[in-house]
Order: sequence, then C-alpha cells, then structure tokens
Amino acid sequence: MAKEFTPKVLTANDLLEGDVIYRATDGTWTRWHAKAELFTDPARAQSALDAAQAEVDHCVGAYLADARPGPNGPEPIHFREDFRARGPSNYPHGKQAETSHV
Amino acid sequence: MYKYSQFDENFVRTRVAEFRAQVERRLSGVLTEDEFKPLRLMNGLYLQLHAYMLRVAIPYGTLNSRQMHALADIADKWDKGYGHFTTRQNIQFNWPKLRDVPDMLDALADVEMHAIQTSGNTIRNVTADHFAGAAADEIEDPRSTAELLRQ
Repeated sequence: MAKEFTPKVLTANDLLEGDVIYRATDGTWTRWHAKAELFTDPARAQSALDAAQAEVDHCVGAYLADARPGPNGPEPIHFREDFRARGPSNYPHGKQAETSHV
Repeated sequence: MYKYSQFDENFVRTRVAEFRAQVERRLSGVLTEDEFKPLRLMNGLYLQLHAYMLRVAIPYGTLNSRQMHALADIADKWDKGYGHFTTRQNIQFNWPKLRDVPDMLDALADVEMHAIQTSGNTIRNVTADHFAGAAADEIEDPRSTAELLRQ
C-alpha cells in the first residue's frame, strides 16, 4: 500500500538576497511560509518543483518541504523548516524583526 | 604589519574583476548554481540558511585602523552595520546581497584585504595568538613566521 502523501510547500533561497522564499498560490515567490501554496497533489508538487528548478536566474536550491494546514496558512512540520521560516534565532532580526506574526 | 606587493595588488584586483563577471553571469542565468557555487566559495561567499555570508581574511588577526574603518564602512554600506569576528580571526558579513559582493571585494582590495580561500578545502587564513608581539612572557613573536606563510 502506497504511503500517504504529506502536503508540501515549495521553497528555495532567493538568488539575489539569499533569503528563504516560498512558492505562493498565484505562482509568484513570497518570503512568508504562511502565504505559500500547500500542495496536496504529488504530481502538482513535482511539476512546481520542476518549474522552479528551471528558474536558474531567480532561485537557488528549490525543494519540497513537508507542511500542514494552519489557521493562518501552511505551517512547517520539521524544526529546520520552522527555523528557516522564522529567521535567525539568537535575537529578533531578519524576518522576525519585520513582523510579529511568525 | 604586512604590505601588499605589486604582485599581491594585481592578483587581488584581477580576482575581483573575474568574480564580478561571474556574478553578472550568474544573475543573468548564464551560469547555473552548480556552476557558480565553487566559484563563489573560492571567493569566500557562502549561501547559508537565511542569507549569503562573506568571510574576509584577516592575516594573523592583524588590522590597522584604515582597514578597521574600511570593514566598518562595508558593514554600513552593504550589510546591516555589523560583522562577526570569528575564532579564526576573520570577519564575517552575514547579510550581503549577491549583486553587492564584487563592490565589497573592491572596497577590501582598497585596503589590502580580500576573501580568497576563506572557505572550502583550501589553506585557510593564517592565525596567531591575539597577544602576539604584546605579551611580556612571549617565547617568540609568531608574526614574522605568519607573514611568511601569508605570502
């Protein structure tokens, strides 16, 4: 029996700034995990990943990361993705300095 | 305190110009990340979890005031106003933008500094005790040997 597909978000690093970015529902890139598109269909997720990997002049190291639906949008499941979504943890800077909702 | 020879100056300037062209080719999509990664690492530029990071070599931890001012200016102009000194006596800038890095390297070259061989499987920066030449009970000043290794 096939393993149940865990929903994913598509993530990468921005080529110019290096910041963590996510594929949004409108096909653009967003810096906020909660605004990412949550892929529940494996074929669509793979198709989005293939397209992102062809965007060599915009993003770096695109991959699919496990996520779950939350009240404000997708939420990361693994610690590493939670850490990437929030920004540096030593004190509030990076994304944490810009908003209090993450 | 070391002083660049004409060879050093030419070498560093050539490397900066070369890297500037490589960055342009990366930003335009001519170079893929797989092709660009070893080139940026040779010039001390990492892509870390949240941003790029540029590591600058400080030979045996010795800086003059002109160089320290230049590092501060670089932090103000192209980073967030600060850098982190490392246990290996380098300094890291943690928020540079890829497009700005060639200008940062040019500013470093203006004060006889660079970021070459600060990453990867290379001979890294030469370090020395931070009291080198200043400690009363020093057996031998390591800086002359460190300078030979730098050269």
